[in-house]
Amino acid sequence: MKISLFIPCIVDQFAPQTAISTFKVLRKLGCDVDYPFEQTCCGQPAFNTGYHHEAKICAERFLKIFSKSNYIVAPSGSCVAMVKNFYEELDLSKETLSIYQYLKNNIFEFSDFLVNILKIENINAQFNAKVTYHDSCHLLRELKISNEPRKLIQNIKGIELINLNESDTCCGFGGTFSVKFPELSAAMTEEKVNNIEKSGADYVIANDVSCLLNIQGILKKRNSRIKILHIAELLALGM
Amino acid sequence: MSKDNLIERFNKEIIKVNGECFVFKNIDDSITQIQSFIEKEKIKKILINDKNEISRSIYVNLKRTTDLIIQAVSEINIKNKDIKEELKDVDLGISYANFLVADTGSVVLTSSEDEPRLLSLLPEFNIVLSTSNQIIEKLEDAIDVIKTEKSVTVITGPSRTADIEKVLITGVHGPKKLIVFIFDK
Amino acid sequence: MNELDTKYFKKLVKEKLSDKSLRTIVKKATFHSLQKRNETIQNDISEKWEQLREKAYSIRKITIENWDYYFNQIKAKFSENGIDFFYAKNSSEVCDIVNNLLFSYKAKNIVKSKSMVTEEVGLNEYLEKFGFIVTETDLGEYIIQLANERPSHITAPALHKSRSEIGFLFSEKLNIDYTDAPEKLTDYARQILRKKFLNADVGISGANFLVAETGTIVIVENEGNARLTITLPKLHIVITSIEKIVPTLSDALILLRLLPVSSTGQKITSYVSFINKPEEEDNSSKNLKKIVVILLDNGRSKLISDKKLRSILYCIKCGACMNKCPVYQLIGGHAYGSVYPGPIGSILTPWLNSFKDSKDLAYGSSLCGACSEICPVKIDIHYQLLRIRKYSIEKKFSPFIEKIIFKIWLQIVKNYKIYNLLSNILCFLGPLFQETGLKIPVWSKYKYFPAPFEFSFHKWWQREVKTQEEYANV
Repeated sequence: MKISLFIPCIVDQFAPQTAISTFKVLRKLGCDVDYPFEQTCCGQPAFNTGYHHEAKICAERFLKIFSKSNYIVAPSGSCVAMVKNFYEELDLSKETLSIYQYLKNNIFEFSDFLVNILKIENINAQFNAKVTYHDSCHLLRELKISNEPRKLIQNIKGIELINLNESDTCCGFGGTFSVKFPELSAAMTEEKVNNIEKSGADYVIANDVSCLLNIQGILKKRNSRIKILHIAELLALGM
Repeated sequence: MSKDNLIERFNKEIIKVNGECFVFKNIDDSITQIQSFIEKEKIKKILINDKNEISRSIYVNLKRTTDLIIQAVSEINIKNKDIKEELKDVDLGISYANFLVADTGSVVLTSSEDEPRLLSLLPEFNIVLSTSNQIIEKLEDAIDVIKTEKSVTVITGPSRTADIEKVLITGVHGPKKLIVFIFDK
Repeated sequence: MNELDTKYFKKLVKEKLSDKSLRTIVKKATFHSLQKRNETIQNDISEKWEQLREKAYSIRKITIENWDYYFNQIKAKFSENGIDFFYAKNSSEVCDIVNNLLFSYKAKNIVKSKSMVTEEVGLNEYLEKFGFIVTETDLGEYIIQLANERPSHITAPALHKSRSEIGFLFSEKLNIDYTDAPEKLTDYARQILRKKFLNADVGISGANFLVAETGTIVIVENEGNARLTITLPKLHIVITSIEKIVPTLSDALILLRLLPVSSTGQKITSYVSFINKPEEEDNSSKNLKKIVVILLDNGRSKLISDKKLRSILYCIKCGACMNKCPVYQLIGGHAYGSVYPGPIGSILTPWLNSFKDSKDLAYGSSLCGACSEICPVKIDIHYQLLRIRKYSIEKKFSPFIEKIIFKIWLQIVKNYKIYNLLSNILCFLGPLFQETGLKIPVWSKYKYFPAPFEFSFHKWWQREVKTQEEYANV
């Protein structure tokens, strides 16, 4: 199966290990993985702040770069939701609109792709740890994915998946929001981290690097022993 | 749904909303129930919608067996009187329902000369009479009545509020207790 | 304290965030409502909730898309039913209409049951200026009126107040011994308000649905104060907004299945009043009581004509989006500074009030979408927040520096070579900040900001995969 990797810019620079793990897991599962090298950003930061003109330029660029891809897979619910759902809000040109109509059905978040396209729920990994899972907002609400990652996690040998209280409540990142309302964003993250700490887990797992780094922002401030881990890394770790 | 099922369902639902429901085979049993209620709640004055065989006979029975002030709506000739004034000291209003709704445990009342809207609202206690034939499954089944009457009130349990720290209090502006009598022969 | 105005949203947020007892009380209350809602949906609703939402959505969609048709239909029905009807373009028109009515009825004492639209209009303040005695009769509204505040939630106006605060308020304003027992406080209010009801000349209420097919006014409540408001006085004035119309009575009954569940977790409220025609006064057929309906526009018809924005008016005012919103839970309703707080308030207010002064509301959200998910009529709330942000940029309301940043940013992401060059520099410097994290103004006060990794994925790919593959392909 031919796959094009879509690596969000934040992952590219801040968490390349997540991208590498995504690549390795997909490779191991027999996929032919390609990385369109010209990709940069899907345009979400501009779009979320209201800069549709700038976002549109990014979107059209993105669509052209991936126009030849069979499947696009990204280790992020948020950026996939941007392309799949929010591009609809941009006034795309005729040319790119037709690419979009085709691509929006072929772009998948990593765990979604594993479980629903490759039909793999168990990748025969092992990892001895107590983990808990945070539902990233766009993954959960825009892409409706919540069981897929949980299945993948639960099938790892030696792992204990602990329920996270209010797992579907936002971690408080929200891109622009965290810059414009830093106090409010931090208060939300504090609540999230309180729940994570109460869970007793060693690791907090999520499918979005942006949420994880934001959560880490408070964990580190508190000198917490709890570590963040992206699902792709978790799966790659135990393989 | 069979009649027994409807009664059972209605009973289950009205309990959930802090209401009460009694099923009677005959009028005499209901009189005993009202009498003990009068005693327990220290009722002094009753106003009853008497435009019906059942309520008429309850009215007469009560008149005979208690020495409280019991008035029938038909007697007070509200055409010339201010119903507000009439209801001022009434602490138990006895209404007659158009329908009971099994799905929600609700009482459907239409306003009329016999069933002034305030009867089920101003007194501290409200007893609603009906027969098992009047139970409908869903509120939708009463839609024709809702369309044609001047006004229809759907009552589900006693008056309530949770405006102070979400603590549930019954009996804010309306009745503190709502009791439904179902006559099932 | 800052004045309650959307202009001060950012300041109010900070102020409310530091009020820990407010946070505790708001969280407890919203959780309570949410929990009851979820339990009822799980245990007590026979239909599938999602199907019910879908139905409700299509009812609201059809109504708003064909609003002018239903508006004309209901106007005709009202006149057929003997109900007086007014369309008010803006708040001052509502005030004038009410004022004239009150004068012609020689009214003095007015009782009110909950109507958010009268809050929007500022009716109480207006009427008090003319010497009318206006009493709010919903317990929550009464508390708020005594405290001289504004509702902090559309269905639970006094949600932000603790029982002891209410206790002190009652003891001060009503001259009674202090108690914080909710049942005692409620009983005091009952006694006082009962007298007000018996002496009232006019009753003013809101309405939850107005049925076009029949001209039925539907009013949903729990306390019985709305029933008293519409029954006791000779004149009943209904004040609500133009989008409250629903096509048929069965449509209204479907929406009625969703409204109380979403709001308080009740399958149905204690009382639902359906009013078709005025009753005879004292049951003498000559003197009919009077019912007057006033519908406020205030910018709504303009919203209706905008295909992308009109879904905002699908709202049936249940308040579930507030209960569910992680931002609302932390700051409460007053922080927004608007009449309608929370997510729905943030998307409605900028279009009704000064856009410039209230656009910030749309930025005070992480766009998590919890509001859209819980909304019983499926309003795309977080998309609407994004649309306000877009409009704000189009209108050039953005900070200058932000504009420059996005201009530069675009030049970088448009060209992968520049992007990679900068990315490599950042990643090269990254390890220097690994321990301390990057110092970002304000952010770093609260959170550690991560440093870039020592290499980017682009770099890794180039090094590890691309070279190998190119080699293999040769």
